[in-house]
Amino acid sequence: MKRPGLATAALVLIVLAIGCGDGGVGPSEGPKVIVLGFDGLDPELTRQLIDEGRLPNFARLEAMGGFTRLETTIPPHSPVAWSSFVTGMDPGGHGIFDFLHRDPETMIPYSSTAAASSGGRFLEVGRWQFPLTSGDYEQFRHGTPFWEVLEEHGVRTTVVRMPANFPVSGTASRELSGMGTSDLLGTDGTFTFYTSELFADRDISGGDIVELDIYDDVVEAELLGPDNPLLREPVKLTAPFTVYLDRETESAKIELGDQQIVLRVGEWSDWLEVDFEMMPTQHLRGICRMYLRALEPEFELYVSPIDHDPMSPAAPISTPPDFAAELAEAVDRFYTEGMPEDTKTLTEGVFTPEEFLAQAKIAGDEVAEQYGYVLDRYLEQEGGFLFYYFGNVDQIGHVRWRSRDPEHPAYDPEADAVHEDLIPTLYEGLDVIVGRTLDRLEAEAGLGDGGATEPLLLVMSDHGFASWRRAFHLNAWLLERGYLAARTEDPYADEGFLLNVDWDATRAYGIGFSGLYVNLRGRERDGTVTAAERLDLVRELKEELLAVVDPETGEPAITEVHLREDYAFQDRTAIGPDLVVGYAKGYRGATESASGEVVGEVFSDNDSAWSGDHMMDHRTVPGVLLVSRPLGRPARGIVDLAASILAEYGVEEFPLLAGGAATGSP
Amino acid sequence: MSLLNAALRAVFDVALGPFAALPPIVPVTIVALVSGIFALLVYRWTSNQAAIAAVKRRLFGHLLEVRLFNDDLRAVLAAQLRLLRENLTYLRLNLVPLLWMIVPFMLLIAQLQFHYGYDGLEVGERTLLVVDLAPAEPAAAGGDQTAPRPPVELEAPAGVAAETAGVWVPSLRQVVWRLRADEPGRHELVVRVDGGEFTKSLFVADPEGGASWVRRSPTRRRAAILDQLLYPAEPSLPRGGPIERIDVQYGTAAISFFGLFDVHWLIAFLILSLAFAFALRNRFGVTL
Repeated sequence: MKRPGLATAALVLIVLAIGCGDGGVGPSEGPKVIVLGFDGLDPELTRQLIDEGRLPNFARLEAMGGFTRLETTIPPHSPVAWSSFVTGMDPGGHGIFDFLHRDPETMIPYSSTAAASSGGRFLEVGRWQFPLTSGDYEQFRHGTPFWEVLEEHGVRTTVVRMPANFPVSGTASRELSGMGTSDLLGTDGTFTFYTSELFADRDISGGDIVELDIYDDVVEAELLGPDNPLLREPVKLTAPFTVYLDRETESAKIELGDQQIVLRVGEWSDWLEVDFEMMPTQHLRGICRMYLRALEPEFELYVSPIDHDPMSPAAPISTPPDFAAELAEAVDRFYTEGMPEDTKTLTEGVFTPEEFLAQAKIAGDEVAEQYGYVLDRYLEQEGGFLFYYFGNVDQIGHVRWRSRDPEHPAYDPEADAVHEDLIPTLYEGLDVIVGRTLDRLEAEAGLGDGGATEPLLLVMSDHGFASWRRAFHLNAWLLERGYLAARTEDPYADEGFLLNVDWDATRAYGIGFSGLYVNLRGRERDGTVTAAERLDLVRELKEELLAVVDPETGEPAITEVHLREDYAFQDRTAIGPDLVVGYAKGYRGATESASGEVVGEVFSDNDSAWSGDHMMDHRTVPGVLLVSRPLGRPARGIVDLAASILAEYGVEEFPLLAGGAATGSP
Repeated sequence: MSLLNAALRAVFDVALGPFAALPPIVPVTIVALVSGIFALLVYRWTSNQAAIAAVKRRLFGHLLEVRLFNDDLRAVLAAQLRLLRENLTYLRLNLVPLLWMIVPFMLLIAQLQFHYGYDGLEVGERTLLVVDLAPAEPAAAGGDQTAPRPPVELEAPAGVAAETAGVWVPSLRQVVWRLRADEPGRHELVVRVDGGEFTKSLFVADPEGGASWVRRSPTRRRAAILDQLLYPAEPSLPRGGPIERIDVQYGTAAISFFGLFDVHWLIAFLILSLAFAFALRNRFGVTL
């Protein structure tokens, strides 16, 4: 056989080199449908800003298809509402009732959406242990995600940052996990604040403060990772770094691994790679950002929570697994934790509002920039479904809402008045996103042409927002009314997490931000209330709660209380609360009570930076829904939206589980 | 060595210039082809071809021996020993051509590394300029790590912005600037120390995709032999001068291997040059 000529072979190679490009995307059934999920977008403020002409693209969308208030879930908490959006079911169906659940067998609280487990079996050799089975993450949400049904009907779906979708479902064509995604430590995000200030170390929520010494203007420190999973005894993984201070130029050179950066005081770094060595051949990789806060009078350096490196994540954050890397290569590395705005820096007094807003802007800009790439890719394909989530307004709203409320107990005219227009400005940023999407859909996909496959744009939020002025300590109220008893003589010597509850003398207790549970015999580990007594007890509790009046304002603090029998599909009864408390606008369950702690007062002023919220009477905090054309199957509540989206593709049967029928459909 | 490096820089800049706007696998393939042919010719001229052919025949014979007498343990072990001996002979016969090739290939690889081993900065991207000063005279330092800030200045050309003042790190005798690339092209940074001027090149890639794959140098060092061999992309810094080295951070580049996967250029080069050498060995009458 004659061999191919050399020139021919070289030509083939050269043509291959030039011709091999990025792979395209396959066809997809049905029209283009884009859902922009704006967490916490409040209908009242949206209406006001549209009327003031500050949201021209929202107004444009309203004129095209309409603007309605979208009924939220009971309770109106983000993981609950988004899970209802995903599955078309109420909490009884999808099993997410709050941010926190408790295990009735151990009475230990846990995150409601997901948990990590280490490898089940290990081979132990000396001080080492080698996993024989891989560790895993468990998603607690039940039900079928609506995009799974779409995929089964030939619709390619892209779902980016869907809350309560960690680990990713694995059923979308492209998927990136959102709210609920942990950092490398397995927490919701734990920052580290390094300081040379003496006695600065204190216990804070969501972060660690590390005191360190400076020698010859050189700081030697370590980034702290999780426990080394390959060691039998728990030993933290560490990554050393060195900071060289130059006080004259108010700058510092920082060395981390083989990376070097220079920061001036007040500057943020780009993403830095963090390499934790578990053993010489095994590494755990993450990323972080640094913020050089001060050199004098004290050295202060903030290090963000160490996130999964999207180039090689150690957790299932995307589908396909390399989608996260694709996004990172297309734009840049990015926060992979579920809620990247580091609100704890503000609530714990580590950052000023301006510093927090600078950090939140970095996080928000990443999401917006990445949306540009995702939209480009989506518009390249035929048809298909796209969901993209924006959480900036929600997270900043939580900690800066009081700037809009001079009546808030923690309102500081000097510090807050300057941010009075902050949240409307964030809404204007979302308006730009909407405008860009409308323009692209009109130019490239036939939006507004009235064709049979005219695309559809939905803008929606999971709930609205309100000022949170007063806190209600549910467990303190239960103690005061004799429903709950403490183990210690001083009932307020309580470390939280239900550890001080005298279960033998307790009939009801609170955990989570709205959940009230009966200490039910046969369900709870040390239950005292029989099944026959339960219904009378929950009715009694409901009556008493609805009669609670705030002695300071004379206003009712609770305006709705739902028995599980009244609002939730009767499944997951071991997990779901017996009662869901709906607080009046301006009130919310206290954070201490949510984590199972009893404090010495039933009501308190909310003096935290966390001044805006939505975990109230669900009727007072509806979400928004704007559509570019009327929906074929209208949606009254967020729980109905999945069915509406499926109907756009001709799929009428949803949700798939019996008893999980949408609750608000006309 | 400096003259040789200067000549090689000129040769490679001219030779690779026409490919600067093409995917780097194209010039790497062509250089691999030329290198494969060059290696075959060197091999043919410098190796004992008859001895190599003989040792290969013996190797084949001993392999057959193992296969045929596999029921005779002594015969198999003896054949294994002979295989080992012939292998060592084969390696010895290959040493001579390898020695002839090692120097030209080192020079070639060093030059190619600076064309295809580093990503150019993109417009808007930041990097550090790190100037390592020579150790202070013992009298001047006095053993004090917090030595006074030396009078080191940076002149950044148009198209490159110094975002920070020079950060002085006395314990490392290092001055560091953070730079931002504003315009594409090859820029010359000027560092002034003790009245002397020292330049350092900085390459910023063209966002329009122009001639991106050109020589870029992450480091300029003093004139030590090994450094001149490994870092020939810029003229050496003067011996005895106030600066030991000047570094600019470039990312490590990966090139697309015919669209199949991304790989360091050196891996692609080795694979291709070996493939070409094997494919062409009969045409050049070489026994490998």
